[in-house]
Amino acid sequence: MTDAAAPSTSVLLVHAADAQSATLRNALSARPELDVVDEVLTTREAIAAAERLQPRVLVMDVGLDDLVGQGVLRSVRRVAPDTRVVLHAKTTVVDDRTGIRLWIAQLVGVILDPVRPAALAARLEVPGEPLGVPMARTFVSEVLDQWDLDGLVPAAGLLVSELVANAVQHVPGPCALELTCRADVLRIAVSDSGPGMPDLRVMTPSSERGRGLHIVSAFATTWGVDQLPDGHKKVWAELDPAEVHP
Amino acid sequence: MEPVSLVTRTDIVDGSAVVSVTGDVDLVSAAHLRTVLEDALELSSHLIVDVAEMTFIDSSGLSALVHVHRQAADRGARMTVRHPSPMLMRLLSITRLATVLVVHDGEPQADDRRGRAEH
Repeated sequence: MTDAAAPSTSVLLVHAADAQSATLRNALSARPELDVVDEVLTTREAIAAAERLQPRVLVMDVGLDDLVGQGVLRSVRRVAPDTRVVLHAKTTVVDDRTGIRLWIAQLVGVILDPVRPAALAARLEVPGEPLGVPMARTFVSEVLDQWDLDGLVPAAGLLVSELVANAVQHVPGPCALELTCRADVLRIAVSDSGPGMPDLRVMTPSSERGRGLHIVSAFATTWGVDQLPDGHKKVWAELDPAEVHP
Repeated sequence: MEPVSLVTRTDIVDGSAVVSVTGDVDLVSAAHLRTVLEDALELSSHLIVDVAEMTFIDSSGLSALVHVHRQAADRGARMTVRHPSPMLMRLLSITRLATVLVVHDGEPQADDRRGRAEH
């Protein structure tokens, strides 16, 4: 543990020397809660660096040429037993700004997940009528204000509007809005009692519907649908503070 | 807490119907906006939707704009959105509506519309 006011997570990066790796390194280095202690290019170097630096997290590209079987992970475990290993497959990253941003945001979430303790949470029962939409938006704005995340209000308000409007229009009865913030990632979730799944429709400029989930996809770093045990469903979307849009 | 409502104002400026939109456009208010714009379309063959004071819009609101835009086209009129915020421009770009709904006036043309009748 370092200074309580500025806890940082030491990270050892293991990846090839290419543009995506450089983007990842720069992005992680820019995060105040992360401390990139070293960057190495081979698994052999990684084992030596892990032993020397004892990082909290080792982030490794599984596409490295000299990565053979599970031997590396066993070796890291042996020389640095307290180091968490996070693997990623860089080759699957979409090669555009949005794809790389998404990838980095998810990676940061995984790196920080067990480190950051208590989650912030808020919940609102939303009436199953159109007025539920502005109510939910007002609630989000007030909660984010309290959480000092007011920079997220425009994007979060939009996501909430779309998710609640979907529930209100397609499912009779109230829905539940949950906001949680963990590891700087705001998660917006709307649960309803409907069995149907969100429908990603083809969107043309002239169509009058089907834009909502495209908007959600564009503004959320990641989103999805969870089936709940009682037959209800939860549609959720995550927003990273780095994803604040004007 | 009472949700923010939508306020509109319709003026005729140089022969164009200008609807100024203030407040939030969402599932609650989109139908109202649609009605107001349809009414304004009866006043002129050029409908300008001024969204400088619009504080929020989601896909319900975009649908209302697209609906009236198509109505205008069907009757040989036109509808343009003026003063979109960066947020709205981003939304229009995501939904591929930017080139449909917004006319990018050049500077001289923008000055013109204050002082000259439009046809």
